[in-house]
Amino acid sequence: MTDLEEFDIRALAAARRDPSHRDDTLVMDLFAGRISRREFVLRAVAVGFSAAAIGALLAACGASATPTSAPAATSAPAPTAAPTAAATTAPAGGGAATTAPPAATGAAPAATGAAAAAPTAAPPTNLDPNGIYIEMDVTPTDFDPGVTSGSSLDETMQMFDGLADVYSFDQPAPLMAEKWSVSDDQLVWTFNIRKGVKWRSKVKDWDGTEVTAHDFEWTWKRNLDPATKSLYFSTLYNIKGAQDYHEGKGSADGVMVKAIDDYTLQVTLNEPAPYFIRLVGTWTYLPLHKGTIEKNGVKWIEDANCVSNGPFYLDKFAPDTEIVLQRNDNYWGEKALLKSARYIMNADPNTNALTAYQNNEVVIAPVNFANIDRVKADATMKNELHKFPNSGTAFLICDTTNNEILKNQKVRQALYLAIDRKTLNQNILKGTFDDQYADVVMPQGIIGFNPDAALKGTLDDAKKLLADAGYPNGQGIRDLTMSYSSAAGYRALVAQYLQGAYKQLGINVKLNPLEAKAYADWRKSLTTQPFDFYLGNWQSDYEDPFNWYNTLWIKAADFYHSHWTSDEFEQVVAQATKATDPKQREDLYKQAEKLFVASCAVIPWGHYVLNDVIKPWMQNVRINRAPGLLVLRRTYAQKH
Amino acid sequence: MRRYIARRVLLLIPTLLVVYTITFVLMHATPGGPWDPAGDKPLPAEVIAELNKAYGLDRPLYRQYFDYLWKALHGDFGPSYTSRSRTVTDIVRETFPVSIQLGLEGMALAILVGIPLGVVGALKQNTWIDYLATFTSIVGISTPNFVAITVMVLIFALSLHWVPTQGWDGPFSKAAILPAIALALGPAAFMARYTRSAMLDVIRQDYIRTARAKGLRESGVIVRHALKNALIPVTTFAGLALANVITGSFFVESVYGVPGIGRYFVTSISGRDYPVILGTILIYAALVAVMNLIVDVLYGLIDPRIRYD
Repeated sequence: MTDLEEFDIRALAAARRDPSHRDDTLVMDLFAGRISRREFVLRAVAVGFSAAAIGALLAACGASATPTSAPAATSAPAPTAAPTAAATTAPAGGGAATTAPPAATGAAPAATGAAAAAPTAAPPTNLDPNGIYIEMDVTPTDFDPGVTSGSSLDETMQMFDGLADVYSFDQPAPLMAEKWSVSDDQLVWTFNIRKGVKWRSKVKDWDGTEVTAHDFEWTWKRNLDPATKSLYFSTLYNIKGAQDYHEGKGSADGVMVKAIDDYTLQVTLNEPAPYFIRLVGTWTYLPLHKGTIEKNGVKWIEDANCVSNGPFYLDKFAPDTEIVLQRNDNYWGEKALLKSARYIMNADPNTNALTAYQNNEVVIAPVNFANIDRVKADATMKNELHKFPNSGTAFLICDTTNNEILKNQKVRQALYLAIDRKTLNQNILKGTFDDQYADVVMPQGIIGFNPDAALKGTLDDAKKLLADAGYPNGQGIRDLTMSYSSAAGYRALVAQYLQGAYKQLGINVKLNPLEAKAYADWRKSLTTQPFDFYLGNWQSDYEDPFNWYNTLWIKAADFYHSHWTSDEFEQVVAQATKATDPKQREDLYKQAEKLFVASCAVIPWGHYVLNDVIKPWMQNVRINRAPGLLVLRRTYAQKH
Repeated sequence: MRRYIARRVLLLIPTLLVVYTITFVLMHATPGGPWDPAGDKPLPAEVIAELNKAYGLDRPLYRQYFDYLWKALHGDFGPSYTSRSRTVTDIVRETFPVSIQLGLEGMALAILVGIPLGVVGALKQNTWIDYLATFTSIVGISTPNFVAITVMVLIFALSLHWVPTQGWDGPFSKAAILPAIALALGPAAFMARYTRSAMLDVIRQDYIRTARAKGLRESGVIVRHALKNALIPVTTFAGLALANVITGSFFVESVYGVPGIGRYFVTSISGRDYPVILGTILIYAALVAVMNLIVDVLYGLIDPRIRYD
């Protein structure tokens, strides 16, 4: 169904007005015929479309109103039917039909089956088969995917394939795992590994050998091994026995990831975790080659020793000059459309990339508040500016316990209301941050996103709140200190804006910029040291409320040291964590968001958005929302 | 002379030791450690404690001080904390030659331009030529080299497309031109000033009048007699300038993407990469000390009035 005339435009428009309309790219994929109706239904349900919206969209897409190859007709294990449980109605031709899902957990479709192949993009036009992608990047700090905490991913993520692809689309898609399923108690995940995937290397002995489930088992244990000195081993702690092994209390055999045979990987978790499928796509879970690591130690990442299984392989590793990737022509799946990708190493790409871009030496350059005016003033570049939504929020964190002024919720709410987010994001930061929904903490695109959680009020309401709190016109409030890291220039602007905004309330704010590492040091001390407030931000590792609520805000985490909690909040989040019904889970997290925003322990002021200029002959440049990675799998260059 | 040189070489040792000690103390006194990422995602305290233990950073400071010193004396300057697959030796080996090449080019340019400029200014003192030369020198001294290179990139690379906007392709490539000029600006200007004032001093000496009286051509007088003596103060400066320029200018290398060692001086400090900090600073100190020695020895050769024993 690709012909535009075939669908009902009015029905489409109506469906898009439905408040549950969550993911326009998904809808567009359906209408462009990039995904099957069945795939659409599975994914739409997972994202949170209402039954009505799904029905309307399918109807608008033409043909029969009820989807034909309904999930009921899936091959294989019961789990595949599960995702429908969420919306309960739609697919099964409108009936209630909601038996409790036999297995499968919330958000992610449990098993997709071999049939539902990953959706393909529109075919390339005017393809240049020797297209090169050139970008400016900082010298990687930890190039080893098992070690890095999230730096230097641009290059490594093109080279390795994990169990699931969580970066190309909004929903996880099969990659090294053809399908996966979860047990009834939702603790045991079984991944069926694709056969015939070969390692690629410049070392003849390893080039062409097969990637098996054993590689996954070995790698995850290797990343947990204290001798590896990984920075991000804790992301593997969902696995039973992982923490004990890393802390020396258990053995490697006790880590419950097992390769049952060459092509089956079984993982037992400590607790149910519906977002686990997103985790296995992240870098610490990527398979690495045992031979090269055992032989070469830390030097396995050099181009002569590197072994990888992705659509690109490492051709040249010169960390002061450049890193060059070449297309892997032995790749099992959709071969990359680019011939190679070149990353020019530079100490400060944020400043220097734009000049190189103007001289056609790179094909993409990041745009920030310092150079966006220059871009918009340039006749060519202003048409090459692209905005990519990014899952992240910037906020102000208050000390809610050790602080006689800020422990008063009304004061904090006044601080919240005094911010004119539109002015801050659009005028001062020139649109390099997003003010839409910037009055709630968790960004759009994550289950539990709740724009209704926002507090409404004007500056006058803020003043009234302050007076109610006992500080009319700010009298009685001592000078408050706002700290922030001076590493990124925009924070100084934000701090100055807030200083001015709070002056209107009668509050004096002193600014305290700190050098990047000094700030890191200072922040560590906040577990016990009192403070006033400081600027911070969080960008999602993966789009799930667990990565916000459980990782950051609950008392056990208190990641930003605001020390805020309430019994109700802890209870709601605990229930949400255990919830198996996706709708219930979503509602609970929404409730948590409402409580958290109202507390104003953390005051959001803007959401992340990435601005880049991209040469018009580069197509399908997709910067994924979390964590802002550029995936080159389907990118291609046109002849120009 | 030989005893003098030997004595100076021996003096290198306590010099470097003092530099090492001061750097070590300052390094550990600065807040922040190697494992705190610059971004906003701090590592959990347990991870940091583990990493410190794995790299020996949890030992008492005096132990770390002596251990590192002992290893350094055996040539092992340690791994880089931020670039795990490389040791300090690797980094220095890969980046130092580039900085040396670029530095030498910059110095050569500075000498070729600065000294004649100074001579001309002295000879044509208080004429418009002198004022022009002086003006040029002052612009050269006052312009920070990162401003100079940015402006040059905008003009020569972006507008005229004569050279690339960044990169390094070897010392004799187009990419070496702008950074060499940017690095040469300061030293050229200083050398012009020094040469001019030294020349002004020398050409008023009696022996110059004698040379002229003898009937030597003016060019012979200037080059064979005056210049040689005027170069003495310039040599001092040139020696130190060379040390500076060879260790690379952070700004020029960063803006222009030159893979030299200059960048590591700053990134190692902001990244708290202790082995690289110590390695780069010790190299710099050694270089300065050696250049000083060379310059002093050259004095003895150039100026017969100077004797060492």
